[in-house]
Amino acid sequence: MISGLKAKIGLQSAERKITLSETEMKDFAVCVQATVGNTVHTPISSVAIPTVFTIFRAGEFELIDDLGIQLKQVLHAEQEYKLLSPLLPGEELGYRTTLTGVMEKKSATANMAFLIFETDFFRISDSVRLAAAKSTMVYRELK
Amino acid sequence: MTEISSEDFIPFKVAGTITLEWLKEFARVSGDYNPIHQDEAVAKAMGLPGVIAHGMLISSLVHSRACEVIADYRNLRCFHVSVSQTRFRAMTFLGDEISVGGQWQVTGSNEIRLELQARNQKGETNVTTAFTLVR
Repeated sequence: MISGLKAKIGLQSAERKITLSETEMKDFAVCVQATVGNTVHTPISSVAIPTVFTIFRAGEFELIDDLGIQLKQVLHAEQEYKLLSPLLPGEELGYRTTLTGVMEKKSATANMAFLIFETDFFRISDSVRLAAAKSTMVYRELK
Repeated sequence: MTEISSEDFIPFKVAGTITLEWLKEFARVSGDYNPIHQDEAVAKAMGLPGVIAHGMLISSLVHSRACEVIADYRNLRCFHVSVSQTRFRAMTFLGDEISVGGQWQVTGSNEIRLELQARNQKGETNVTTAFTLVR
């Protein structure tokens, strides 16, 4: 399985469109204890915390499935966000994910592959690029 | 609010104790229903000691602390986070108490670096995030 993954570099997910409501943004902020503006702990209501982009990982999950991997076999290794413009509630967002890298590694207990997924996020109304995400996931084949 | 100076330390502050209910709520708000974050049997079948927390939950707690700390510094009003780079160094388990803290580093007049870590109750570092703030 792992030996065939490198050939899949370049695989792209479908382009998706989604709108994050203020309620959904607040629910996320409350769950992760996000605060802004002052030392009184109040949830963000106007500007999203950067990690809110983790909500938009359907493209990654689609590619993991396309690779024939079960989600329970992957762990998160690294995550990078480049933030270009604020995401506001109610804005329609578009995104697409690409498998951009595969690195193999072996340990005593598992054969592993590091899978790099890159996602671009843009605002549908004016195509302004909002953010870029780079996720490194570890796929483990237990011995 | 205070002024930032190079190599200011950010004290570690407890964010909370990881519970199954918290993981289920994070799954709901994030859409990540990977069963290793909710099902003990599945986690163990995958060679893990037990249910583990979503890395992005811990990372989000680190980002939340960053937002809180940035708001506390008067001379950071014109700065914003342009890049965050997170490494998941160790797993977080049910019952782990997570604290977040770290250090500022002024790298130039237009750029500041903030490095935060999430630690468990044993002082072990689970997650590290480097933030780049620019004008």
